[in-house]
Amino acid sequence: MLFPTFSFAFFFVLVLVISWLLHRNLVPWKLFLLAASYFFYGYWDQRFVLLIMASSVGNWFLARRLHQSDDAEVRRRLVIGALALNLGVLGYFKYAGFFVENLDRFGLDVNANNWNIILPVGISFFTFQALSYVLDVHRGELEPGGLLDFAVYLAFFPQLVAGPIVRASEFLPQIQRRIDPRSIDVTRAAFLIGVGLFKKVVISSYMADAIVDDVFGVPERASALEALIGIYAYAIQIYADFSGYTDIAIGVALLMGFRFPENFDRPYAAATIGDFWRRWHMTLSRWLRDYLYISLGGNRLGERRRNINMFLTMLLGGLWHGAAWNFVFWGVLHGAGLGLERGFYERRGLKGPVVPALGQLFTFHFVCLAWVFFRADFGQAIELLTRLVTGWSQPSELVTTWLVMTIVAALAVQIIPRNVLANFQSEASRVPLWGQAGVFGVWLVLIDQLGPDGVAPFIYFQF
Amino acid sequence: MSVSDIADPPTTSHLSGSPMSPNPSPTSDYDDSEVLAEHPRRRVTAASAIAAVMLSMIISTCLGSDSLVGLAERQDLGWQRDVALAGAEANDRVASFFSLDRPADAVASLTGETDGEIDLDEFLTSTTEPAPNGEVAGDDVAAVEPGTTLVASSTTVAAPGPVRTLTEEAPLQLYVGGDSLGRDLAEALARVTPVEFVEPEADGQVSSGLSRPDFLDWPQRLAQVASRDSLPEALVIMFGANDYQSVEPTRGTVLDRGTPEWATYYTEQVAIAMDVVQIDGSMVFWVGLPPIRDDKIPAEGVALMNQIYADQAELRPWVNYIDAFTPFAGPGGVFVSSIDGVAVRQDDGIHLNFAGVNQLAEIVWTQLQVQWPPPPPPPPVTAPPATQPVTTSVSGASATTAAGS
Repeated sequence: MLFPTFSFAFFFVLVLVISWLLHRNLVPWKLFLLAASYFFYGYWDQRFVLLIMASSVGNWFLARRLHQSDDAEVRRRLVIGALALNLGVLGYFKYAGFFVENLDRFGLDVNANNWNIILPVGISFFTFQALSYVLDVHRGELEPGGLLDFAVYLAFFPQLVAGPIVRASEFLPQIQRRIDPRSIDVTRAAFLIGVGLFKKVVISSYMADAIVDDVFGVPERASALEALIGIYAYAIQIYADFSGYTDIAIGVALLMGFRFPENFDRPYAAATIGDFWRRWHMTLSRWLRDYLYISLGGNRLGERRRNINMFLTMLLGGLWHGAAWNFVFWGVLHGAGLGLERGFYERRGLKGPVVPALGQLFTFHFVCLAWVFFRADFGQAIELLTRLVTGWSQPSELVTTWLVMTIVAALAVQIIPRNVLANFQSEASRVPLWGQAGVFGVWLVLIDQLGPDGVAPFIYFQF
Repeated sequence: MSVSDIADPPTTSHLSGSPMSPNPSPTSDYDDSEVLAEHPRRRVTAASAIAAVMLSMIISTCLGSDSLVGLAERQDLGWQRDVALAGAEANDRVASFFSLDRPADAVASLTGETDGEIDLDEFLTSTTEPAPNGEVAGDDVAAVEPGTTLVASSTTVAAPGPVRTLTEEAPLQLYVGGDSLGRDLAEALARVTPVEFVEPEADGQVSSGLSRPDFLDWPQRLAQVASRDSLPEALVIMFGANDYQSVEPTRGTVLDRGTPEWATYYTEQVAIAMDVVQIDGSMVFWVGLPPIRDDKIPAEGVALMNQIYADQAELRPWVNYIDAFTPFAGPGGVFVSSIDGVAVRQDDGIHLNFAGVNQLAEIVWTQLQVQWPPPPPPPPVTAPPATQPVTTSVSGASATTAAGS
């Protein structure tokens, strides 16, 4: 069930009403949330529900045993069991086909035709949430909750398929006590949902149709200007698509009384690559930092080891996005970029670029370069980058004034200070509620008219 | 990663100075309390929030009542669609009565969504001649009902040999349309054909097809293509990924997929689509379905649709059918994800991957070159004269020409 659809609108209104009717009685309320979330997930494929149920029971059991045990050896085995369970399931569904295909390619006849595996939507997201729960319990940072609480945490439908990756310590307290029905931040919710829908339905679709699909699909025919604008447009498309989804997810949860962490903070205004990762997919960056980078040693073992840890973290972060070499290379680029950037500034005793605008310009173009390898396979990516040099004599029919204006506007929005947006929402919240509802209703119609018929799946669903 | 590492409690010292560290500290991620203190937002009760959601829904459904009907129509057939459609149409009647749908219509006209439609019956009778008895080919496909504008023409038969040699000044005007399979093929054709001799136009629409004109009316869209001032010389069309589903040609009459009645309906849709692109001097290359994994479309469904395409193409001299099944099928005609050790399919079991769709594009390009050959490459200045003619060979190609062969 996609967010910008008739089915979801109907489903959500129904769930919103029933959820608030039930919220005084915690157990029925949680059971209802769980049933609604399983229905939402089963809308794609009912078999997926069995998978998430099994993951819930398995991880809850392991975490509970971990909490109960004082024996270091038993705890070690339980953690290994949790890692094996989660990474094994993820590895099977997400990476088995990739490895088998590559074994076939290297001459080991394992017959890739026998490995037709269907990737369950959102498996990367809920697996990471499950792992964080078990590891937090192991570290003594979290008291394990009941099975029902944990099952709701893992399956809660707003964030289930594409994040944000919410930590159990953020979510569980919100369902273990009654949510206050007198303090709903409806203006912020409407702002997030309205902007998220606009980004997904209008901006992302427009970028894909106007230039991105053509330029990345057939780079051989792109002029240099089309290649350049196409790369910028893809940067806008993937941001609008993914941040649009999580905006809607956070807004939907807010209307139900839940508070989720933010996932994007104007990433293309970042002055360094490190800064970019503090603004892009923030909940994944946080997860990788807390459970991978730190587990590898963080920066405790010197500069060289820190850079290796950072590189490995980004490499695995790239692989998290999908079982393909282009994601690996994308991770390698960011890992290497982070290390080189860090060394560059440290050698000069600087904390960041002397001229922030130059840093922003460089970082944006580095990120765009990496996006080329994220979107296209290696050969196509090289072809597209080659066109930037060789294609200047060709006409650029795909580059229109309207397209360039949209890209410029989308980038300009990134440099609007946070307090301006916060002030806008603060002022908007003072408008009478019926006025806010009216504006939101008109906004939805406008989005519908400006967007294409039908909505493509969100890019991050495949991850 | 070692378990002892995992057991290490995270401390801020591990993060200090790290490019991956959050700002300002790991325990206060995304805390907007400072922002809220400076820019407080008014909160409301849950009941008010629900009322606001309801009100905005009512406003948007009234103002966008046309779109709501379209959304309801695009649902999969079933009781949910029936309920949604009944509600959306009732809402549309009320909205139209009070002229609430006018602003959305104005926006739609500004964005060009309401460009004039072509009357297909009139279009077909003005451009084609009716076929004798209006029959369709194939023993297992029912005859089309009287009155259907199935046609065959004797006026637009393409020559079996070359139409013209392509030049840089006059490259081949190639239209490639269809569903997501057609979209992928369009991209691949742009890749495999020589840039200077072929000008492809891609018109693939994801999730579309011939079964559900309520989602996207392909005959109408193809008629628009055939009505332009600048007409394509060759049209490559590929459908079917979304077509094997039950349909509702008239309200309340559901035809279950795969039944003879469904086959008759689908044959009509294919026939109309082929007829509207009967363009003087142009040829149509209708590409059949590759094998599809059984959990997406059963094998008998793929076979039925491919039979319909081939039979209908055979009736029309301007349509060539290209077999995309044989080159991608395993032993016994089963779905396989790789051919000769090369992966050719995407994980979804429907689409060809990059290598696969390029292979299919090579097959299509081989067929196109029969009518529109590119000029032979200039002989090398110092090399001895060639003793063998240049031939184009595509590994695994199995293209058949239903007409003109």
